[in-house]
Amino acid sequence: MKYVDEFRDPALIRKTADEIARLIERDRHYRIMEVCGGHTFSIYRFGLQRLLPENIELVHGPGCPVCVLPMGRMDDGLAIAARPEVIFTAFGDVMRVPGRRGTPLEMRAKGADVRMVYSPLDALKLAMENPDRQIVFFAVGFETTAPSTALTLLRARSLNVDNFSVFCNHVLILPAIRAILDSPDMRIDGFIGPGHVSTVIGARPYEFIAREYGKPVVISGFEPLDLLQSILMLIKQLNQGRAEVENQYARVVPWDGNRPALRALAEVFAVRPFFEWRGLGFISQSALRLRDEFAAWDAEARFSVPGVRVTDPKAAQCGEVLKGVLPPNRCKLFGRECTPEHPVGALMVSSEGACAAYYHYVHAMVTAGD
Amino acid sequence: MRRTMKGETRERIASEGASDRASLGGSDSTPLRCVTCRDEAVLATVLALREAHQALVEDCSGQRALVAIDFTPEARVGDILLVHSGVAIARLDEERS
Repeated sequence: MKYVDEFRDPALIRKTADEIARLIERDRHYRIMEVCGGHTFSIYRFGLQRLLPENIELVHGPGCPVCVLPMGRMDDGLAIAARPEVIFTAFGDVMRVPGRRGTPLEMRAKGADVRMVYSPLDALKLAMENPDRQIVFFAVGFETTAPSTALTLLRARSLNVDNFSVFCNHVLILPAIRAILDSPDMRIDGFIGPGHVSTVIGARPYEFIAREYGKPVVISGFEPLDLLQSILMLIKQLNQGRAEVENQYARVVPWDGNRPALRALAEVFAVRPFFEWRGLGFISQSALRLRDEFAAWDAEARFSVPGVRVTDPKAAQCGEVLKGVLPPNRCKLFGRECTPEHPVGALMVSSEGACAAYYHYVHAMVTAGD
Repeated sequence: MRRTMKGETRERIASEGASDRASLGGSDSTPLRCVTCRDEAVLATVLALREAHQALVEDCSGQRALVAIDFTPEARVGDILLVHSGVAIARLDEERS
C-alpha cells in the first residue's frame, strides 16, 4: 500500500541506519524517549534497537493510555458495569485491565453485560437499539481517541439519545511530557513525538519542549523507516546543538492539527484540574471531563461511583520505567511476579506498554535462546 | 451527497455487507497487538462516500469498513485516510510527504 511499502524498504532502512552510525559522536550517549506506545511497539516489533549503535538508548515513554489508567478508575467503571440496567462497553484491550474485583471480561463471566466495541459510535448505536437499557462507554485514550468520543457525544445530543453515557478517562499527552521533563531524575536528550496524537493537536504545541527545556522533538510515523529517519533527525539536532520541533510525519500531521477535531474537543470537553496517572501520580490539567452542557451524557454524573484510590504495589517500579530511569527488565517484578498474563504494574497491562512489549519481543527471544 | 463510482469499485461496494469495522487493520497486526488500541490508527483508501458523513474504506489487507469522516470533510474517493476507532482523523497529503 502506498505510504506503507516505501517506509519498510530494507535498502532505505539500512542506508538510514548506516547514516546514523556515521553521524553519532562515539564518546556521547544519546537517550531518546519515544513518547507513544505505538512507537514502542514498532521499535520492538521491527527490532530497530538492534540496528542502532549501542550509545543510542531508546527510552519508552508514557504513551500507552491503558497503562496509565489508575486501578481506582477501573474499579469505578466496573461498579457501573455491575448495575443490572447497564450495558458496559469498552475497547478490546480495556477488557483485560484488572480492577480490584477483576477485569471487565471476568465481570462478564460473572453475569455483567459487558461488550467490546471498536468505536464509541458502535456504543451509541447499541443505545439506540436498546432503549430500555443504559449503555455506558468506558472512554480511554489520548487526543487521538478523544475526537471519536466527542463526535459520538455530539451525535448523541443531536439525536437526543438519553440512554447513552460516557465514563471519561481521556488524558492529554503534553502535561505528561512536562511532568517527565520536570522530574528531578529526568535524563532524556530528545523526544520522538507521538504521530497520531499529533495528527489531531498538530506539531506546534510541542514547541515549549524545545523553547523552555532545550530538548529537540521530532514527530514520527510508525513504520521502521519513519522511526529511523526521526532518530537521524534527532541525532543531527543534538550534534549541532539545536533544539527544535521537526515533523518527520508530515504526510499525516499538519503543523496546526485537525481543526474540525479540535473544535469538537473544545465543544464537548473541559480540562480537569488534576488527574491521577498510574506510575506518574497526579498531574495537573492532564485529563478531560465532559462539559456541563453534556452532563446528561456523563456517566460520572448519572451513576454514583465509589471514587476510591488504589495504590499500585510498591514493588512495581512503573514510575522509574516510565521516566526512563530503569529499563523494563530491571524492575524487580519483571517476568516473575509481573507478566502479560498476570500484570502487576501498569506497563505490563497493554500490548503497547513498555514492559509488555519488552516481554513479548526481547524477553521471549532471550528465553528462547537459553 | 452520495457520489457514484465506476467499474471494479462498484462491484466492491456491492459486497460491502461484509464490511466490518472490527477487522480493519487486522491482518497487518501481530496476534499480540490489539487492533482496537485507542492510539493506534490504520491507513485506508476511500472507496465511496456515504450519507451522514460516512465513507466506505478499505485497508491494505482488503478489509472494509464504514467510517465517519466528520473530521476529514475534504475526503474524496481514492484518498487515503488515517482511521482510528471508526473515525477518520486525517487525510494523507502527498505534497507534505
